[in-house]
Amino acid sequence: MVIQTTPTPTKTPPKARTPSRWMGVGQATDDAPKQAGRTAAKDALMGRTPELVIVFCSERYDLPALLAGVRSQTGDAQLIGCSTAGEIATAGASEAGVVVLALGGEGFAIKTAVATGASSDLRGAGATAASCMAAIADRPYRILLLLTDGLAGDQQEVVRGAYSVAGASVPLVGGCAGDDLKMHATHQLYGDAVLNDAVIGAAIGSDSPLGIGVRHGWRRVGEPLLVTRSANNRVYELDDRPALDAYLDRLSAPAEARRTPEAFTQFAQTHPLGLNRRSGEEQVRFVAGADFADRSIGCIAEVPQGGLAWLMEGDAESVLAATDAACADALAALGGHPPLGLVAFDCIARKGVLGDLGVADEVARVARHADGAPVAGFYTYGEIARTQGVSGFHNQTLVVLAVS
Amino acid sequence: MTDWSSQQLTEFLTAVSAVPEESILLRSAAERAAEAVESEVAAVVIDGRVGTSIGFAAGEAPDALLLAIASGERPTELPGLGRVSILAVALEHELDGALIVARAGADPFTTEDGGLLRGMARVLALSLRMLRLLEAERLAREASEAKTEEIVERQRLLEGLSEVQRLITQRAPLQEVLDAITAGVEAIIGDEVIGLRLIDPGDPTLLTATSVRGIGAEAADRIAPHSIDMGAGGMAITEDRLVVIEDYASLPQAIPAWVEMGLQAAMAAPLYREGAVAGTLVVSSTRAGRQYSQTERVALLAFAEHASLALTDAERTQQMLHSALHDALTGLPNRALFLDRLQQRLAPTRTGKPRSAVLFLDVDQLKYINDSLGHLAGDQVLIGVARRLQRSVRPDDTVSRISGDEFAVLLNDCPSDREAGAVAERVLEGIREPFVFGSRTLVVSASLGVRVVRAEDLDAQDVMRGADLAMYEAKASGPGRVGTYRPELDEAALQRLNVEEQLRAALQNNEFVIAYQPIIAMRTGRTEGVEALVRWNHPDRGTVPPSEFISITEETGLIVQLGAWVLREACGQVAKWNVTHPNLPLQLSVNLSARQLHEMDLVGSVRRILHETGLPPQQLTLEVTESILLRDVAGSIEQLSALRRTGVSIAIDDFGTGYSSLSYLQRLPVDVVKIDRSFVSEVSSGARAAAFVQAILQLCRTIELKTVAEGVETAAQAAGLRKLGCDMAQGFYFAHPLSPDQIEARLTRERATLLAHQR
Repeated sequence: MVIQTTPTPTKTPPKARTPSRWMGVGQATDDAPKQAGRTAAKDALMGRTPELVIVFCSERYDLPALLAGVRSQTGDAQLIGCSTAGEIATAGASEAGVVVLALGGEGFAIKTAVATGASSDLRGAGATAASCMAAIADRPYRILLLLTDGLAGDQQEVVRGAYSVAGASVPLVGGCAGDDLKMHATHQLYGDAVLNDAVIGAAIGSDSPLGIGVRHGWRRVGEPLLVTRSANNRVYELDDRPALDAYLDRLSAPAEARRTPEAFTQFAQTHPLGLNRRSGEEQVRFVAGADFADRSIGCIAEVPQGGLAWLMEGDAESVLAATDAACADALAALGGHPPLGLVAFDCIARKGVLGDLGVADEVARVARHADGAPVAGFYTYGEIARTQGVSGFHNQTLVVLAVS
Repeated sequence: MTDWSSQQLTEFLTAVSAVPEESILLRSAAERAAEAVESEVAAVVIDGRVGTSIGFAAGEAPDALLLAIASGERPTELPGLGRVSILAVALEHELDGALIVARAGADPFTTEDGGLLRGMARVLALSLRMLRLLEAERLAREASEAKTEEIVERQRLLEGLSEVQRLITQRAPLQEVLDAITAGVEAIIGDEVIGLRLIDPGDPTLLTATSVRGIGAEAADRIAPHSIDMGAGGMAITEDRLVVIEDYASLPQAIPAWVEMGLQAAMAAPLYREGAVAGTLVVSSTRAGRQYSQTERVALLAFAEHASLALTDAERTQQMLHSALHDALTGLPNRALFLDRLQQRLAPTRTGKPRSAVLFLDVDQLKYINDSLGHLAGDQVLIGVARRLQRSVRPDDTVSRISGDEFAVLLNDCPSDREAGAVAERVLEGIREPFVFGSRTLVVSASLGVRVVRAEDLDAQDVMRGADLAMYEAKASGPGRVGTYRPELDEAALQRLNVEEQLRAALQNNEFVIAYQPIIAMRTGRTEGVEALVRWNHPDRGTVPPSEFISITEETGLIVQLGAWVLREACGQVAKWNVTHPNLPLQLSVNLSARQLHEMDLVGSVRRILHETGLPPQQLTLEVTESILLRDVAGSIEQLSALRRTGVSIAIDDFGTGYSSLSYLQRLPVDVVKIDRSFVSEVSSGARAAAFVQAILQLCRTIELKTVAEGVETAAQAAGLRKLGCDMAQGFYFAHPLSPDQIEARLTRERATLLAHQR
């Protein structure tokens, strides 16, 4: 998939990296939050003054302390961030750590905004988070980066809200905060505040191209099923059968998955639904869990009634192949400009498939694509990427942002 | 259409069909359409304006362009997107719009996309029509429901009020009406506490609970009377309007007992009785956030109006009852009320209880006071008498005004005649005290009858009549006297009634006859006149002398008829004798009673009779007793003068027995003086009596009045009178009253004798 942002640029020869533009990444796993924050931030900044600081951190930390540590280095530079289900950095992935990403130098115009109380008005929160777009109107390349509380509700509504303000000419990219798979409460960082139930937007205007790649790596299994009854995020019936039974049967799920919720969730992680789209590509829907009583399965985004759904499966190989493809797509959109760095928003479901070795492999692949440029990112509860059409919320997908 | 398209359409249909609100429907349709065909832009134009659009930055939607696209234009670029492919499908004509999608880049829409979009447009239009229809229906239903609800509420209110109205028109007891009002208020407004309070009759600064309903209504401290300026009710009274209080505790004049109970809100209206504020109707609630709707306010005012109506009506009824049973001038109970109270004391069950007595009082000569001093003075006298009566008796005794100048007193505990008599004397003494009206002083006397109630008395009217008879007897013996009832009075009264009846019959049945007593000229010894005297030939009793019936005819007014008959008969008779004995025209004397004398048409009547009978007026002498003349000198003079002008003569009868001074004689238009028999009987018994008669005779001679001596019975009397120079005389000595035949015979004899002497 080729992603275009704003006016089609003419092809230019590869340029040398402009030393005045930079992206830095720092990582720490210290137990002491303040220390960890300070270390990661210091490494990212390397003495430079940033336009934007992004923090991905584990829920295990005392976040205010961690944030204080980061800010001790970054001052009052614009700061956004969120809690994760694992962090990604150039050196590798970590769990229970902190990664700090910093952007700075010439040709960047960055403005941030935050909306709280997202769960009571998801669309409005998205719109509010997008309101910072107006401040960077005059840059040739613009994107809106979103970090959201994925547990607040249907993220498609957040995306729609942001889209209603940003419009079709602004690509959307981002991810949903995690909480180390506890599925309890995630946090968002904004300035010196640790928030919850929030949507953060960062309008990034750049004189040099920005590229986005979106790939998931799941395969279809068999014929599609008709979603005969669904409501909001729950599917009650597939092909007029109780959804849970149809799902388990078609996938020949192991006995364990048919019995216990945890086992089911584990199984479902690698067996998402794929919703039919015009271009033939599926919109992947993460199956979050099942209700063994009413035989329904729950996703974290809407599965429209009356639509077709594919059952999907995947393995490490297909997932890693998607990683390569996503990075390639994002870099291709830079139009020859070398990347300052790559930012990855990776679904935890894919991590689940990869396993520890697979994860290390994935990060290495991303770093390879970055060709020495820093890599940062986190494992998300949902991914945001809209480059065409109106849909922008993905599950079980890898979204890569390339900055040049 | 492919599977995918139809699936998308199905998804679209499912998504938009459940949306209840138009703006959400449009937005949802646009988003779904964009998702389905993977376009960046989607828009719905409806009713000629852009209903929704997605894909443009906030505030940058090119509405004009979108409207143009809906009209059929196909620009190749859109702001913010650069080159675009555009697909637009018109909605049904009446919706005046289109479903539009636009995709950036070079990837054009396919035929399939077109088909899908057309399908979506149809679904959208259908959904919109349905939604608008439902909305219209909802509005209509709401309006109708609101109307129905309004009607139902009004109906309930009217029903609640009609019950109250029924009770009012039926003059149900006031308490019943007020209770129905609070019940109606409770049913319609439904608050927790309803109270109707009225201003305390004994203390106008207090409001007393007259009808209370609801929780806490039995708690003494909550329903206790409270000051008229306290509470919601007090506020309604003070401000003379409907008051609505939605935070009771914050009201400065809130009643502590109710605040304690947790009253949150209250609404009160003032009540009126005959236009003056009389109380308040209050509803109050313990519900937090209680607000009173317009309907509820109207309802309370309606009930309050009815309460005011009931209060005013009860007041008026009371007043009417009062005036029906009380005398307007003095405020005393009237005859009806008095009789009722008297009757209650006569009930057979009352044996053994203290006995009552009735005093019947008549103000002497009230007519005289009215005539001489005016009715205003007369009214003042009556009011004064009423007050003095009230002061003379105990508070639980009843003083009443029976009629014009009559009062009755019911003494509740008066066992004996003597005690009653003592009270009566006291009463009269009180009345004898002069009445002072400004500069005028009046002394008034009254006659009083006493009737003690006996154990066997059962009828109040009988008792009253007994007291009346006793009073009458007292009055007969003079003013300012007390008479005590005796059973004989009843008999006498009964007797008189009988006689009265008989007299009336007598007149019809010609039971009256006239006897004529000759009046002799002293000098000649000849019969020169006759006095007509009426006799009653009672079928059973025989001849009844005038002394036994004349007074009754006077009292009953029968005298007028009788008198006229006597006059006519006598005039007619003498006129006959004028024919048969033309040389001896007799002078006819007829007595006039007091009532006749004051009869308005007396002169006319006399004239007519003279004319009809043909008796010359000069032959008629009308006799009036001295005492009658003196009762009303002025009136008498006027009437007598008028009579004399017709030619008749006037004689003053029973002269010497009245209280006139001799100088009156000069003023009175009389021609003849008839000396009373009491003088005549003395004339021969001593020099002193004779001297009196002599003086009268001389006086009369001097002022040229003829004299007639009455009741001459002996020769000595006759001789003495002749010697003293009396002109005429009548009496048994000369002749008894004779029948016409006997008179005729006498006249014939006398003429014969005369003729014999002349030869």
